[in-house]
Amino acid sequence: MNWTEALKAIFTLTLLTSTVRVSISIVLAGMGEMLTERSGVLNIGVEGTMLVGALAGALGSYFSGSPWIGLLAAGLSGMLIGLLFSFIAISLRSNQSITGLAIYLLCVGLTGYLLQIIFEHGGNSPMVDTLPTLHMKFLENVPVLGPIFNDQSIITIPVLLLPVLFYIIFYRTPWGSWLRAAGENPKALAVVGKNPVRIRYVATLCGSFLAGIGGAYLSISQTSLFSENMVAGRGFIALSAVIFGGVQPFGVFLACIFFGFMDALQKTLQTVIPDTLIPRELFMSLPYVLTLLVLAGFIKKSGGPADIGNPYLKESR
Amino acid sequence: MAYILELHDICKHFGNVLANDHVSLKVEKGTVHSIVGENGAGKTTLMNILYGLYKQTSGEIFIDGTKVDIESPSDAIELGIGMIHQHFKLIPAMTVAENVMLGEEPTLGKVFLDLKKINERTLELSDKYGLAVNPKSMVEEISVGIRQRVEILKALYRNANILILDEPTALLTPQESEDLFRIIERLRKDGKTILFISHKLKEIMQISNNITVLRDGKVVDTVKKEDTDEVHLARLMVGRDVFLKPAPKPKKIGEAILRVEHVTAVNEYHHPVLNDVTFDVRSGEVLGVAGVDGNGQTELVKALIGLQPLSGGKIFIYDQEITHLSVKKMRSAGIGVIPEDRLQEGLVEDFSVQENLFLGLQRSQPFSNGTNINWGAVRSNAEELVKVYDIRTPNIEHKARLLSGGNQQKIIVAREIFHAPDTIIASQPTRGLDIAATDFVHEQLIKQRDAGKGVLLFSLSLDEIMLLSTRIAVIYKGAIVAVVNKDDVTPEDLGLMMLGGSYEHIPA
Ligand SMILES: Nc1ncnc2c1ncn2[C@@H]1O[C@H](COP(=O)(O)OP(=O)(O)OP(=O)(O)O)[C@@H](O)[C@H]1O
Ligand SMILES: [Mg+2]
Repeated sequence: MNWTEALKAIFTLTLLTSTVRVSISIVLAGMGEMLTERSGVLNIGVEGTMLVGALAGALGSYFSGSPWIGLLAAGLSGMLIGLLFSFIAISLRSNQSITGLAIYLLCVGLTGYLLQIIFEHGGNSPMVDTLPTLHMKFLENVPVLGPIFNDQSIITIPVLLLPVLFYIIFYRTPWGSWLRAAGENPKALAVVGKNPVRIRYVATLCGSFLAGIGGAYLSISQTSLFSENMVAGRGFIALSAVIFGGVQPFGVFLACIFFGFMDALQKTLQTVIPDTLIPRELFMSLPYVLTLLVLAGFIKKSGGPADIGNPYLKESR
Repeated sequence: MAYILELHDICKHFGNVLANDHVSLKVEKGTVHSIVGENGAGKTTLMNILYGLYKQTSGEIFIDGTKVDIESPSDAIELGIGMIHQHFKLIPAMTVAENVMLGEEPTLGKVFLDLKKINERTLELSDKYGLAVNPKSMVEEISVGIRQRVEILKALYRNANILILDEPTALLTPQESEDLFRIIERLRKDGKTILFISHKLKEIMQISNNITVLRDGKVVDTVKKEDTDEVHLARLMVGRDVFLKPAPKPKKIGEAILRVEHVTAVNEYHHPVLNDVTFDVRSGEVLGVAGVDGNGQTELVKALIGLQPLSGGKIFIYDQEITHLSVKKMRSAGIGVIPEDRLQEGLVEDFSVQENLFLGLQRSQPFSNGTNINWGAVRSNAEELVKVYDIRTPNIEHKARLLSGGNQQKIIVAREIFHAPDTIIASQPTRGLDIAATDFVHEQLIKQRDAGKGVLLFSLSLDEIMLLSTRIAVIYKGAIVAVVNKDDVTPEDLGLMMLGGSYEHIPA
């Protein structure tokens, strides 16, 4: 096989279709984490929150027979994890990174354990009902867009609109101003009579809700079962995307899509190029390498909130 | 006379510290009421109580004759109280207008921000009081003086009738302070009541109607401006007579200790910030650097302690070139510094007083034998400095964060002077200090001078420069435009030179 043929085999419409498909969970988690970080809270436990969401989604769908119930269960259980994190990191003012790490480890153990006791075996859950896909008649004859967006999961289009929603919330609503203020300088917010703690709670809970949904997308849309550790680093990729995207809606969104693209590319390459030529790990590691470059200041200033990671205490000075 | 604000027997405890001790105060509407007192006297605490940031342990507050309960800043705002804090509470990454409106933004249909109105209203308000701010500038890009106006606008926007200004002039240049006083006068004429805190008694006498003196958390007296003067106020504050007196003549001026030769530097945008700077500091003298803020002083200090990359020139201590040495090596070569931004660069807020008092000396005798810290020596050093410098702290294990602003500064001054290198670079060494502490620091600097060390003094206050300097270097647009003997110039001459005026008629 020569190079032109190989390139043709790699860069097909299918690659874009699968980019969209694999990006959705990263976008959900990334948008959620961006919301959380804007308020000044760094939750590195997203991966765990997604895992719990994935399990809750599968369980909800399995026991109720409705994937929609599963989706709701995933969001709510994500929020519950977010609440636990918030209580420890915001109210008790523990170190946010360590709390996030602990939450992640807890979720890994918890999901494995629950899987074991509910279905009496580890590994996988039984098959569950999945979310419907959406077929839009008018897209059928549209080139490129048609094949990419038709027959994707029903939540795809709304998820792709999230950056617009967040842009409006952040920069066009009062609450968005307060949110950004809480992340930049919570005292400045407190002296104008707003409670930074409440805003940080709301942001973290909503962010965790989205991460939970992102996890469920994996178990009740992209596949139709829960398997142990199925999030497989997507939460950490989302964390990277938030930094890479400068904690801004469109930046983070594009970063998530970019990382999704890398994932899809890597999967395609496996089928086209023998593993010996370019190891797939090289592609898998790309998001992390890029993030390191951002952090090392090679690409640009990250533009994140100034007070991220610092607990807020009222009577301090 | 109607009192807009009355405080009755306010007490505030922080653990064992009694920061306010039965403070009672009556403030007349439409006046400037100043509050003065030593560092740690409890001024900021009292204002924070009034603004709902702290809750008083006991005591009552009356506004317009009605008893009120202030639980939070939003209660205070509701009652028409606005506060401009000692440390600004602004969001650098937002615009001026966004900062002004924060928390009470005008909206479209209750959901969306009315961006147009946000800018318009800020501009209106700014014009009404002659504040001249640009609503669309980012706060991170504007000067300290303008930032303060943004804080004032924030309060005005919330319809504050009582404005608290906690040491508003500490960070301002003399010119900016004058502007601020004009603004305050305008606000007062408009019927606002101003609570004003400052250590500069000259200012207090210039703008106050009434003055309350606090000492150790208690009210010593409340006096009318007409019935007092600076000397009287200082005596009330400190309990004895203090004057800031000119330094005695230097005893013996020796060879140059610190030499700066043709130093140039550019900032991150490649604009020159230091332009062929040449001067020396001799043993036994104080060289004062006079200049309007922002003419390269900050960069020069940084260059001398190894924090500013140079594009040319050399720096020597005696005959040793130290131009490109690390901060640590420069320090051990004999440079000590009292930095301008003390909270950022001089103090670890979460360390105790005693730890801060030997910061940077962890490897020096007698605090360490090279590997282990000798805590006994650290403790006795701290005990002594706390006593000598009158640092008001319950004990030396207390966190630096919890001290009053002025007492935090004393820690750094004490440490750097104690460290007693060959050259002391003192940048705004008395900013935020009360009159007694200022006098004390002046004495210490002179003592170092007379011990044969070189003192390089940066101060925005011409008064301070004139009081302490042996020679004066004038800095303008990154260049030293003149070095003159103190006795050969008047403050007026200096003022002219600082603005770029000619200096030919002055013998060097
Ligand atoms: N949050 C706090 N926790 C513990 N102690 C405090 C706190 N705030 C103030 N104090 C103590 O209360 C006393 C009064 O402090 P305050 O800041 O009111 O002084 P100040 O008069 O404003 O002094 P300065 O002129 O130095 O600003 C000090 O001894 C200080 O250490
Ligand atoms: Mg104070």
